[in-house]
This record gives sequence, C-alpha cells and structure tokens, in this order.
Amino acid sequence: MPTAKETTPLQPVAAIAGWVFPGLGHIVNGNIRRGIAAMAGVLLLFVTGVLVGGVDAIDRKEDGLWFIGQAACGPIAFAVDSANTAFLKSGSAAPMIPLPPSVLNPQPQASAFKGLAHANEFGTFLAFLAGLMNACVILDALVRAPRSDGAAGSAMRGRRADDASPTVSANTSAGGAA
Amino acid sequence: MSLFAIISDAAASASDAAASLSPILAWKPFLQPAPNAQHWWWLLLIPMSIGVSLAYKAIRVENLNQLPRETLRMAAQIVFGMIGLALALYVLVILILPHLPAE
Repeated sequence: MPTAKETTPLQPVAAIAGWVFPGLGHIVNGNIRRGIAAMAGVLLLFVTGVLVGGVDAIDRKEDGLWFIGQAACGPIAFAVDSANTAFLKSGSAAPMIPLPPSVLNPQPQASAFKGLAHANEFGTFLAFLAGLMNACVILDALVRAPRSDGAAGSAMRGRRADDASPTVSANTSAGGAA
Repeated sequence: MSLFAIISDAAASASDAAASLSPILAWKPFLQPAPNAQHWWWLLLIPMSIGVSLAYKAIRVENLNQLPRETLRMAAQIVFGMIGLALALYVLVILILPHLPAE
C-alpha cells in the first residue's frame, strides 16, 4: 500500500508562489478558499504593523534581524522597505531632523516621521509576526495536495489532502458503505 | 460656581479634546507612525491574535467550514491567556514582591 508521502509530491511552485504573495501558493494549487483565508490572516498582521508603525516599521538596514523574519512575507516587505527609503530617509515626505553626533556619523539626521517607542516596536513586531506566519503557510503549500480544498480534490487523498467539503466526504462515505 | 466659570471649564475641556484630536486628524496613515500609540498599544493584542489565529487555522483545520469558529476560539484563548499572564505578573510584582525581605 503506498504511503501518503508517495502519493503527494512536494509542490515547489506553490511554495515559491506563496512567498511571492501570502496565500498565493494555495490558490495556485487550487486550494482557493484556504489560500484566501491564509492571505487574510497574514495581511491582517502585515497591514496592521505598517499602519501602526508607518513604513519605518520595515527597515532592512537599521532593523536587519527583524527584517529576516519580515522578508518571509515576500516582495511586499521589500516594497515597504523601498518606500521607507524613498519617502522617509530621502526627506521627501517630512523634514529631516538633526540628531546628536556620534563617532561614526558626525551629522546624523532622521525623518520627522520616523517611528519611535511603542508605535515602532509594535509595527515592527506585527510585520515580523506576519513573516513568521507566512513561513508556516509556505511550508503548508509545499506539502499540501493540489485541489484538495473541495469537491475537485475529493479523489486526491494524500498528505494534508484532508480538507474536502463535508458534503463530498459524506457522499463518499455513504457510497463506500453501500 | 458661576455661569462664567462653568462656561470657561467647558471651553477648556473642548479645547483639550480638540488638542488631543489634532494628532489624529493630521496623521498620514502608512507613512507616519500611529499617534499616541503609548496609550492604546495594548489594543493591538486583538488584531494580533486574530491574524495569528486566522493564518494558523487556515492551514490546520480539516474542514474549512469550521474556520471562523476555530479562529475565534484560538483568538479568545490568546487574549484570555495574555490577560491571565498579566494578572499573574501583577500579583507577583505589585502584591508579593514588595512584601518580601530586601535581603
């Protein structure tokens, strides 16, 4: 009898799509409802983080360790980081404020819109959390059977292909019993 | 209290309210950090718990029809768990630790 691992190969295209945009990996594989739900969860965290902390919540250079987790959200994290550089660090969105000089930088400056304290901390943290959750979603897209999200996938039982609709499952069970 | 004093107090209150609203009205969402986050940061626990629960349960539930209920249940578990931890830490730090001997 074949094992579930043999019946459902890994889905690298779905994993890559899941990184390109949260939830897209499931949608590409035909698990549309599951992909939309995962997308909603990850984007709720990400958008809330950027809303609270501003685009400064994602900063590849100043918050490099946080950005490692945030980058799991995919290009949207890099886009917000680019917006941070383009609008805040360039001074185009708000005037630059001089900071106390240091040894490394004798004339440091920061945007007047730079996030500080709670706003910056929670914005950064929520975007980081979105990245971690999207990493989980990507791993699930990698191992989940294609089109296992409803009637079309009811015949494709395999690894993680366990989310067929209850109607289809009930009909299948009834038919098997008969 | 004279009528003038009452009116003056009301005007001062209205002025304070307008002053507290002005950072919100001038806020540029997504570009500028949210104003006065130090006063309401704890409310972020709600979207955080819902977001984590929705993303997690989306890949964990067997039947997607159970997703809303499972998401709300997990979000409630996170929120009440945090409240429980906060109460436990309050009891430890505010009520117990001050009564311990210094040495």
